[in-house]
Amino acid sequence: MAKYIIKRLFYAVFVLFGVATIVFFLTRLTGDPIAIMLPDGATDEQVAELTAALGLDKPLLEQYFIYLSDLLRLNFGESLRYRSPTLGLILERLPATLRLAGTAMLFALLLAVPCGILAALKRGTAADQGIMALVMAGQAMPVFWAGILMIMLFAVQMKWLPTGGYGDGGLRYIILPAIALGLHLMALVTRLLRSSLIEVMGADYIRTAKAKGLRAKLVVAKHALRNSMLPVVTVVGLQMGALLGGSVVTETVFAWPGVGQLLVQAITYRDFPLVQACITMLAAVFVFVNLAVDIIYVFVDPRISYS
Amino acid sequence: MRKAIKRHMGSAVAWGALGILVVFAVCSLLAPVLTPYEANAQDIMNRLVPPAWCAGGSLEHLLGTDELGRDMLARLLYGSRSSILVGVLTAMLSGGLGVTLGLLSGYFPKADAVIMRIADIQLAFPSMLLALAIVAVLGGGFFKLVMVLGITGWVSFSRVIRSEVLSIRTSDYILAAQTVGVGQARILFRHILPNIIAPAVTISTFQIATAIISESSLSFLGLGIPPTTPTWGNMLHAGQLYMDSAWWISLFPGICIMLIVLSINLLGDVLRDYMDPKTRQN
Repeated sequence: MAKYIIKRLFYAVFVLFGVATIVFFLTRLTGDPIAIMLPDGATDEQVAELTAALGLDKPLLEQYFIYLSDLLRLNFGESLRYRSPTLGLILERLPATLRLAGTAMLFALLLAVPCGILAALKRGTAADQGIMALVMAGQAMPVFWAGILMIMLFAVQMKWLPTGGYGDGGLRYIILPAIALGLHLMALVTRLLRSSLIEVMGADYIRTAKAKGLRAKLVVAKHALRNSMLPVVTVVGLQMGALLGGSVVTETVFAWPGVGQLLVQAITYRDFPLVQACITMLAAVFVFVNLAVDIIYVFVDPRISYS
Repeated sequence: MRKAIKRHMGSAVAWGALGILVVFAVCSLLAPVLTPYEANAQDIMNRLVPPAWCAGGSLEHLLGTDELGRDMLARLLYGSRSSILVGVLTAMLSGGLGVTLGLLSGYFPKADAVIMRIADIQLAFPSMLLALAIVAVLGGGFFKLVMVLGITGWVSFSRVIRSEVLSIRTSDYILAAQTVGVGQARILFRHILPNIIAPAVTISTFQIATAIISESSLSFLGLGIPPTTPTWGNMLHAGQLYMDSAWWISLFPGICIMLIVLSINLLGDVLRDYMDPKTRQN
């Protein structure tokens, strides 16, 4: 198993290298990034100064190697807008993003698991149909619109919760953004768990468990649920990427001071080094989450051999 | 498609979904006939007029007006054009790209190694993030957006198509074709391609829905289609500032997005069930 984990670790490094390469060449795609970064009517001296400061006067391949060696030393460059190292800016805001994504995931799972089980066990009943209708609606709702609706209802109309911001970091501030962000995942997991559980409940070993007189609750909890959780674990890992992507939008709607909001501002202000660093960092977080999921898998599913 | 829907005759949901899509398609085509207003015609004297059924509303603006006095209904109708077009064009682009790469990947082991590694790396980017990265470099705009969303969407096609091709490649009729000396291009496009159209069509429907949501999200962030073009995402972007005073600006475009995405997803489910031999037998 250690061998498998090491193999996955190497693979994660390879993917990160690929991510860094794509980001590098993507930001050079424009041909002349300086023209995009500087306002119209910039003088020739300003152009020359910025070109030299960013090392853009060197050959492309040399720039690429400098970029890679900088990355290895965790030097992500300096933000044009804030005039400070981008890594510091991101690390300052990363906890807020991770907290939001984590809470969203927690909310999604806490709601999806009971809903999925209920829908599967009461298949075809009004409860099942009601849950599935809500799930379909949740999947069709864009994250930001769910956020807007909740702000209009719970913050503007009822004044129960704040409209946005981080405040004192209290629970009141995270409830709405976490629900908005987690809604889609909640719908997806409910649907997946329902179909997975329905399939497992038809398996021979479930019939055996029932036949030997095991109580229905125990059959579900000990035999069926554990096996139907496998696809859920996979999807939850993969959906972490969607959560990080969705956090960009959610953070903007709720003025949540995370990396997503920083990224959108950086794009608006044409702060290229910061855009580059934000995207690389968020992708890196995603790669490591997937690595963690792969490792968790070893423990969840003893059938798979990892030699 | 007709058979698929026929099989679900009992399912009012599928018909409802199809009906909603037809209504959206007709509305987007007949927008100039259905509303006397231009989508961008401003009327500052009549700004933030509520919908007709609310106090202060008027029948002249059935769904009210926005912050510049533009008719909401007209903007929704014209906005549907951008959303539908972005969705369909994106699905075509990512479908074309994904199916071609999936075919190559499934048929030629050497190409497979390269294409699937690229796919792995691309999957390391949350798709929204990749779209943002490209938009940050290239800027917004209709065709750029289609290109961006098309590029971010190819992986979901190529992965499925690849696995389909892998299983078809070893079937007897392909071996027979190879034995009698049929060229590789002909085998790929005449013998394998027709067999993978079904899953490709199914993925396309979901891709249209995803693209519509992505377009509206990027436009909402102010990074998608320029605000001069009415799109549902742009309308929601503008409505943000008036959430406490003019709820209708934020409500109606969202309902449109949700309805169209919901309908496409439901139809996609029906198509998938029909085209999947495992569920078709039941």
